[in-house]
Amino acid sequence: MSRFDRRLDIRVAPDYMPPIDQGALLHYARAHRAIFAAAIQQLAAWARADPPLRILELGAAPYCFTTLLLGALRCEVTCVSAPPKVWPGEMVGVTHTHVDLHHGEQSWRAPVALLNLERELLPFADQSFDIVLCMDVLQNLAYHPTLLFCEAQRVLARAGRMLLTAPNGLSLWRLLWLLCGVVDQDPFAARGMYERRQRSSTPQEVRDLVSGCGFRVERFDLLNLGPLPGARWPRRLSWVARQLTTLPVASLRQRRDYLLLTAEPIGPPRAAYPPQLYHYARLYPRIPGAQYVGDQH
Amino acid sequence: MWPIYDLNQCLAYLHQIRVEHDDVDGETLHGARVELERFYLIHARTWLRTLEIIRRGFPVIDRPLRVLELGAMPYFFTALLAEHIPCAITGSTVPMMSWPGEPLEIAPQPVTIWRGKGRPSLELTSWTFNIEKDVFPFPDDSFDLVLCMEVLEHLVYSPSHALAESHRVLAPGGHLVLTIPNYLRANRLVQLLLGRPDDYPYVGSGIQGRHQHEFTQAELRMLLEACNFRVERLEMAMVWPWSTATTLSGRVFNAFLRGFLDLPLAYARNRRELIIALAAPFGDPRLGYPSILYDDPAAFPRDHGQLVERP
Repeated sequence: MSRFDRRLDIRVAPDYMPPIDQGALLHYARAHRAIFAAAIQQLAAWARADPPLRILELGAAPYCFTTLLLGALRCEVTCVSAPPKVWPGEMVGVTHTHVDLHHGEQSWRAPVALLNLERELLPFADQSFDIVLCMDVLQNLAYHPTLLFCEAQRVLARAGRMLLTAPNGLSLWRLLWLLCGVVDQDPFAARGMYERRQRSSTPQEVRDLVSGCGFRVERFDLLNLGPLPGARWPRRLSWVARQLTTLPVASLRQRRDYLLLTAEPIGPPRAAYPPQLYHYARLYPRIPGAQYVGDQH
Repeated sequence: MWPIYDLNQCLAYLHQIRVEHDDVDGETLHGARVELERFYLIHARTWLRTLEIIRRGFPVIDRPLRVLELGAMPYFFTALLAEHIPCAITGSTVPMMSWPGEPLEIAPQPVTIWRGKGRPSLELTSWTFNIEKDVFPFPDDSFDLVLCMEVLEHLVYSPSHALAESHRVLAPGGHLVLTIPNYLRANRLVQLLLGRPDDYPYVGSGIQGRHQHEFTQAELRMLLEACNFRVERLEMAMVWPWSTATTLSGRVFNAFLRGFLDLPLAYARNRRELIIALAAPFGDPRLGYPSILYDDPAAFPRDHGQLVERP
């Protein structure tokens, strides 16, 4: 067992499903540790002693990052997760529940709202959080990310910040995989449709969407943070891509595997549907309280 | 043998097609003339190729072919098929804006398609049901041909259910014709190289409006075989119109790429745009979950009536 593994004694017991297997949690935490470290470093820069930061974590399950965050910073975390088996299960609206988190000797109980981020409005008042975390959520959405960003903008306090991480759809490892005939799509997941990656976005698409929805992008970095795959050839290709993209060449830097973005809300929430990202935008349900730009609706 | 249109005849015919009556999505279709025109311009070659394959698969018939067309809306291929082959077509559709987990009223809907002056309108029944979830509302062995044309890539959870149900409703000697974009197509690579998005955009008509999971040739073969289909034909085709490059270097590159993709090399063939499969069912209907496509096959339903109560 590595030092990292020994330090990571996490147990997660959601109220709405059986406790998450500890081995699976450890595997998940190990794979995502670079992303978690980058996010905690950024959050530490925003931390304050009193009152504690109010953080909303979108797509929080399996709550690894929630646990690490509560252990690292003085904060209050509210979680939003997709209901288990959101498809093939039926639409259930919003359910309020909680999750018990343990890290070594420390324990916390965090409130959880179960809902579909592409369909439901967030059940929180305007400007009720200092930070909204949207880590590895965007790529799992299949229909309407604009709703998520409009709602994130609405619930953020005016001096608040959003932190977003997502895989770079233009990464060099992806290009090498496809050239060599390695498929990078996630397999179908029995736990529901939101358990798998649905779409790879490019950095420009993410920037357009976030700034279109009423945010000012503060930090926009492309980093090598993604978990290396287990299979031998894909792992080698990813390793080669990682080495090449650390070279000080601007065009290669753009091909790193993850993007990390921070943004602050400006003005009221706006519903943006960039034409390169949306087809038939006029058919989307109207988002209450959001301003519409252009004539797509 | 049935005569089949050439591309120009086909486009002229498709240009006249209008959905005259459709209680499910007729209103939305009426307001989307530009999008529909683009749709048939992209798919016309695929449909002609598919007609050719159906003609080879069913060279002699002594009665109208019983056809189930999954995801039939907006009914262009339905109209083309009816023009070429004596057949009784039943359609299936999911109303726009439905969420995948939302229960649908499984019901037949009359659809009327206007096919131009001098031709009788085409009347058919299109059933609303979710092919990924619902038991198909038809008895066993009730169709000679199931068409699943560019449908599988729109499914979000499990294409095996649709294949097992297609197997059940196919009569002995029947066939499944399936077309699907190839995930490893050269065009995706070119987009990536140029730093452009290669995945389909989000679509306002519903989650299943966009491509959620495309397949490679090997994945599709594995999936069909796991669901007890014998693959009789699996071809990789170049059928989509390419936009004309504006620069000389772009045109040279396009010509070079086209030439390369036409070469009889496995690597080139596997980078073509579309997979067309003709498969025949054998044995009993089976929910096959190849581990290359499903993350935890044991956790998926084992009985294809398991997701809902059988009627």
